[in-house]
Amino acid sequence: MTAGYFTELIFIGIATGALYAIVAIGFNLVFGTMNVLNLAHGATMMVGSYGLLLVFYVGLDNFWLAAIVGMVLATITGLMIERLTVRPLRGHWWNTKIATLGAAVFLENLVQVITNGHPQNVPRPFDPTYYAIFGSFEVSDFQVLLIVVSVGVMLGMVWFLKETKWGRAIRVLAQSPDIAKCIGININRITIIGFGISGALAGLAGILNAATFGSTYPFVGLLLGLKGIVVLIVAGIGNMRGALYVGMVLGVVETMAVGLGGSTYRDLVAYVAMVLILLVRPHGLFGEEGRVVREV
Amino acid sequence: MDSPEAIQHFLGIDWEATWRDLALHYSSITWAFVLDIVVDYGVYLVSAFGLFILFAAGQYSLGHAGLVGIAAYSTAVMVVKFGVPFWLSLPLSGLAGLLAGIIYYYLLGARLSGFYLAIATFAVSEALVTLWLSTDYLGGALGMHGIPLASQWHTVLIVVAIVIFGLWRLQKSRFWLSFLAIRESPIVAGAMGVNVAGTRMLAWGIGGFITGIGGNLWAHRVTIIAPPEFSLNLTFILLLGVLLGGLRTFWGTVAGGAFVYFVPWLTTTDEPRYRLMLYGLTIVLVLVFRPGGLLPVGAPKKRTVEDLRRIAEQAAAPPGAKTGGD
Repeated sequence: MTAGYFTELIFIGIATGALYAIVAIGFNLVFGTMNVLNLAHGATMMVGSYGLLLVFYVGLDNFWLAAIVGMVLATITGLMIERLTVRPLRGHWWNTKIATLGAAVFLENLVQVITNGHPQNVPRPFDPTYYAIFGSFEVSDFQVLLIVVSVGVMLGMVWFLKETKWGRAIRVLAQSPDIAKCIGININRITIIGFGISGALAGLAGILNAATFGSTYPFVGLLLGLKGIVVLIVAGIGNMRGALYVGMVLGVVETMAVGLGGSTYRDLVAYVAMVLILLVRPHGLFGEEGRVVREV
Repeated sequence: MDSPEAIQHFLGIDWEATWRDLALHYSSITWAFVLDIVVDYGVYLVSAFGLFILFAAGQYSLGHAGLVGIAAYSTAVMVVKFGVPFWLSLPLSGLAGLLAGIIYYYLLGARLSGFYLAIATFAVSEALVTLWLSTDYLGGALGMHGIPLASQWHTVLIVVAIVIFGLWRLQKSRFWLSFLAIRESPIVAGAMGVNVAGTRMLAWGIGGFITGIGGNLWAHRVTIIAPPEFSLNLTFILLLGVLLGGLRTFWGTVAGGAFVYFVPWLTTTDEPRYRLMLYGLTIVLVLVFRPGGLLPVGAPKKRTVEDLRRIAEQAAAPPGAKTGGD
């Protein structure tokens, strides 16, 4: 165990956690506003990564174009989920959750049937170069890209929610749907905007994940989505900054657990931490006191 | 990249072969096979009843597979490591399930509710899977084997009959009413004198006990248990059975479970991914179009306008006057 190995683990952890943070922010946007836990978020990520593949399959060999197509497909998936499973069931939080879970199971198995279930190779946007910073401590430019993107997404979301008209409307909706109606906010439109942006973020996370690991498979969103939920709950609902910090800390802790203990402890750490924090602080580490989910 | 073949595989489905497979599938169904599925269904049903009890009391658990797994593992430890006979292990694993249920109650049920309870039970369930994976005493990833195949059809029939009788009695008791009251509104139930905490603990205890028996039957049915079996898929299938039938009476779970177990065998070959796709689609459609459950089991009779008019007339009529139309 050298100090260089240790620092490298921390950096890899931050890069992994950046991905979790993007997932959690996507969850947050929908959950913090409409109290809908969209369990199909992971499946939306998967759709994004397969949209990426579709462009390469058609024959266009451009990663950035493919990324845009993947995000558009994921956005459409998010909108469809809102229209088909969330809106008809508004007001039944339990039924909505199970319906989105059903949609996720459907989508994942549909893609598995279509693609025959094999993991697919995903081309990388560029070959990562490693830069040695402190002797043995190496950083790849891809990891830096991940961190920059996640910080950018977080800042963008904070700006969107605080400064823009739609973002403010989303925050009103989060406070009280009745008041939102009274002051003339079109709830259906705002809901669908929230789901659209959330879907685009899911697509982004799916694409980044596929590019990081160089492959994708139909159930890729399952584990990543769970980590997103863990981050969401530990950070506190509706808090974008908290999601970023907690995501990165979770990434570091997991990487440490793998590097020092063994890969079986990776998921255990996350779940145990979540249950403990739920018991001690049900509103999360960064959440406001009293801001717990209304059971509508 | 091998996506070209993959997409061709989809577009170029050999329909002839598909029909041939289906025909073969139907023609190869024998009575022994049907009996097999019915026994599987009975085993599944007992665990689903455990989940149904929790749901009836408003304890929306999203990690029931964990509880089934605790029961199955405790059975396996008793039978394989200590040589306990089947008939003795059945009540013992029920007690283990009860204990696990009470622990679940004190850890989660008493502190969390609604959405948070669902997510926490789910996390506990997944954490348990990881724990089993990394415990050498319980066989690690390979799981435990050497459990005798004791869940024959007559055993399962007797156990299911006893459980159904117990549920039927429970539904006639006042505990059932307090379960429903707590599910609808804990605050109102408390104001009406229902002991909210005690009733919740009772629900976890009874649900845990029944799940314990279900897990025991499960372990004695599959004879080899491994951690991945008790993950999200099992939870989802249990949930599907309970929700499809609706939460009014336990007969809903009987019917919903029958749907889960028998419809895939009628419509597809034994490809699990088609089955799961069908399940996912079914649950979305059912929740959107029939939120009270697919089957109208135990639904209150719909009142027509005529019924309401008669009731109003009876209420308005002076005492002693004849009721009825004018």
